[in-house]
Amino acid sequence: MSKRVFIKNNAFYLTVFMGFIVTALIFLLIGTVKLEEKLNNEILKVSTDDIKAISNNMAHNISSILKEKYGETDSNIKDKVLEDNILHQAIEVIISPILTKNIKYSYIVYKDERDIFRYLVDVSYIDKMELGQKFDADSKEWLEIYDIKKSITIKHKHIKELSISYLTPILYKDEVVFIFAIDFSVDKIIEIAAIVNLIQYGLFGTVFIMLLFIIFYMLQLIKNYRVKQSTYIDALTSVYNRKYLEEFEKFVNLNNYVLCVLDIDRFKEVNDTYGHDVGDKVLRDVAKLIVKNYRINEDVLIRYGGEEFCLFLKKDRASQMSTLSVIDRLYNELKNTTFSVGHDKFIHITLSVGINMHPYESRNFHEAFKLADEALYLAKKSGRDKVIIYPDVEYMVENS
Amino acid sequence: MRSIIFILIVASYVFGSSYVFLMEKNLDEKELEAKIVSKIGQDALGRDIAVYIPNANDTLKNTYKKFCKVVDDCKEADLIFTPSCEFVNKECQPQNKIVLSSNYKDFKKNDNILGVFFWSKARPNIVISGKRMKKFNIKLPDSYSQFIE
Repeated sequence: MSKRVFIKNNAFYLTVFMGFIVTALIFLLIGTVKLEEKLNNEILKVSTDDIKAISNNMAHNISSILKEKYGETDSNIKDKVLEDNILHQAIEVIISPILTKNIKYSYIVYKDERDIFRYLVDVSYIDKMELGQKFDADSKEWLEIYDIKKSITIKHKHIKELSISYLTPILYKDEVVFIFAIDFSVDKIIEIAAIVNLIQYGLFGTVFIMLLFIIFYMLQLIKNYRVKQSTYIDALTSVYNRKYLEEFEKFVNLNNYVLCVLDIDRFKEVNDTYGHDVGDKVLRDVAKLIVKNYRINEDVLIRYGGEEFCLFLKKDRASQMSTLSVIDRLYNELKNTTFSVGHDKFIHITLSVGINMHPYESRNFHEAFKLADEALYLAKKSGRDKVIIYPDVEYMVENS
Repeated sequence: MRSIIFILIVASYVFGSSYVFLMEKNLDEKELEAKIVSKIGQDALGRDIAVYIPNANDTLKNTYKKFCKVVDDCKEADLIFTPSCEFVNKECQPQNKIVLSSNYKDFKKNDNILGVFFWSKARPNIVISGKRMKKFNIKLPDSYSQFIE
């Protein structure tokens, strides 16, 4: 039935729409997570690049001082530096200015003969350590820097107070003798997170508004579809109406259909005898019966007017006669059906049917319909309860 | 209903991370401390140990209980983990007990303290005195060599 088809189509569109929304949300989720990560990294990079450059300069200055003070080839440089308190003070003066609200700790460490890290200088305001005090390095990068001899950034995942550490090698004779380290507090990350959140909210807001627009658009589409549906559906029988036929004939390919015109026999008598309410009920029941027997996704039933229906049967390419099995089934069921007319009274109803087997041979739908209607006229004229097929085959089913 | 679910999903996603951040704060540090302190004791004595922590609240005790037995009387303890050496001297005699401190200065000045576990620059630090290990006849596996001074 057309209403069922509509509901089916509607459910399909709603499923597609919901699928679209869910997919969009998943993509949004993945996208924002990636965007957040990328933004975090980029902003962190931009906001720490200058500090890192300053840190590199400081390490370079300290290297220069070592070379200036001890020459370029001293083989015992580490021990000499460890004993040189004046140099410690000079180094403290160099690395102190880097401490800010975001740079929590600034210190220089060295590796002893047991490969244990110890403090040379620590200018941190809190947790300040003494010369020679052990430093438990917390990641492999502290050792790697001795091989790569270049600055390394360590991102802390397990230390809650620190976001990153930046290690700069202090070189002497092209070897790493000390490591200048600065620890960035999480405050920087929190500030960055606040900026990223702001961007995220903006993004969410934009996407939310877009989704609202899409939802409104979809609702409008559904509303339009419903309005159209109510325009094209006959209120009494719930099948397509004449208005729909006017649209349908514009795009229907008659090559694919057999055109049938069905008319309820002696319907006027039903109306006159039992009243229009009973007549309406009989019309509804006959329409239901036709719908029950046609192929829901292939055939099209239209109430042409009064008690007359127009049925487009989708052609079975293998056999023309098998297409007409719909009519066979309908006639058989009609034969075994009685229609209530009230007060426990039932009547039999018969149909006359005119069929145009080759509607595509006509120039347009109206001509094709005219031929089917002529066949219907013949069926009526020859005693009703008959099927007349145009042009050449007479296919007759009698209901008695 | 769908709208409510949608709004909830979006809201939980947008605001979720900050709650997680708050909930996890300070939890891991104490767990790590409990794990390290109990492991040092177990490795030193070669068996399960009972730990006494002066003035420990229930939260701290429960954290330690995940890794070792916690006792309320220092006399029953195998290991005392204390922030103050004054306590060790006055209230609990550390004979036959391992004493670990969380204060580096106390560790340096009190010969009864075997080692120290403390947080510095947001990182955990462990120092164990080699001299005191000999004094108390305590042996630790080779994996502790980087912490022994």
